[in-house]
Amino acid sequence: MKIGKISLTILLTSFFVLIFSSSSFAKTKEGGDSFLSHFYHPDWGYKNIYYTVHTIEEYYVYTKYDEVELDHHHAVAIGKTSGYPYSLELYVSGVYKDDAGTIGKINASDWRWRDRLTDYITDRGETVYGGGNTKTFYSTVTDRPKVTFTSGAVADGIYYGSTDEIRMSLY
Amino acid sequence: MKKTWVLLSVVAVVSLGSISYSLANIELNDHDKGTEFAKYYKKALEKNNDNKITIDTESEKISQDELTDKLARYQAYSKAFGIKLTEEDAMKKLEERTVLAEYAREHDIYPTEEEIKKHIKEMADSYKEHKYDVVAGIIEGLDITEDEFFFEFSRDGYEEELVRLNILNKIKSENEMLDGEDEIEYHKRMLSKLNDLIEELK
Repeated sequence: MKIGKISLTILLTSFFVLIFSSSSFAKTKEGGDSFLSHFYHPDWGYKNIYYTVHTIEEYYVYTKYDEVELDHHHAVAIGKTSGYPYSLELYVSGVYKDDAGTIGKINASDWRWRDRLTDYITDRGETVYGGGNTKTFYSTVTDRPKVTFTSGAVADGIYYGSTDEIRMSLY
Repeated sequence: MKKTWVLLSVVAVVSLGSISYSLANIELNDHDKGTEFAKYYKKALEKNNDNKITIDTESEKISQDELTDKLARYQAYSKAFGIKLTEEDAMKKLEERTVLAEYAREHDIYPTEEEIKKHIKEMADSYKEHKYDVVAGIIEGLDITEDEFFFEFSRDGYEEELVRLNILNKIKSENEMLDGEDEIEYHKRMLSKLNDLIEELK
């Protein structure tokens, strides 16, 4: 029993050491630019919504040559949906496809990101649309925080949740 | 010799399984999803026209053509985009469209032909400015022009949207914003009233 407790302590210590020793840091930028997102709905047809970028979090890592490199970023954008005569809500898909074409579950950090988006929905009463996934989702080149530069570049898709609400799925 | 055949058979089965698994998991791009949708829609429409589908409904105002088309769209959407839409969903939406249209006509707020065309033109113009691959794929798959896609193929949806907007605006004109309520909360509350009205009208 005692051995079990010691093993657990060692395991937990190693876990936290690993977490806090990684050479990375994050920067948060305020957004402001808008981008357009499209969807095709079986009842309403083609529609689009403008989203305003709220914040962009850029996560950097130090390379072995002590250079700084953007590892991944998360972006939060808010879309006005009050002009639509039906409810329009965000749905963040629980699965992703990586560079190798593997379908897998979104990892814990991305679920936290999803929770943040959900907070915005609850608190602000607005539809929130997130863009910019982790590096594992797409290539480094296309994973730059493009929401600030390219219209509709992030997370467009086909989105239908039920007959009463439109849900947008990130992929 | 027998062992060799058994081994070869196992290898063949495993290989075929892997190939079919890989093929089943190829992710289509947006354009191809659009063309797939169009292909399934045309097939479903043809099939539904051959075998007239009837669903028990209290509304006698839903035409066979409307039902056939809506079902074909839902079937195609389900297949192309992997989202399950049932015949009951299609029926429910058609019932909603019918009762809301009746309500709008009774209250003299049904959009005019000019308003409907203006509304569709706004979407068509917006698409021209910001192309969307899914729509381009559907247009290609249906072998129609952009104008035909917006003003004919998509007309029912845009018309219904406008009907809903007019009714929603009527509801808003009858219900003021509450103290401390922001625009979005107000809009959501009015949407809820619209849904109540739909249930009442059914």
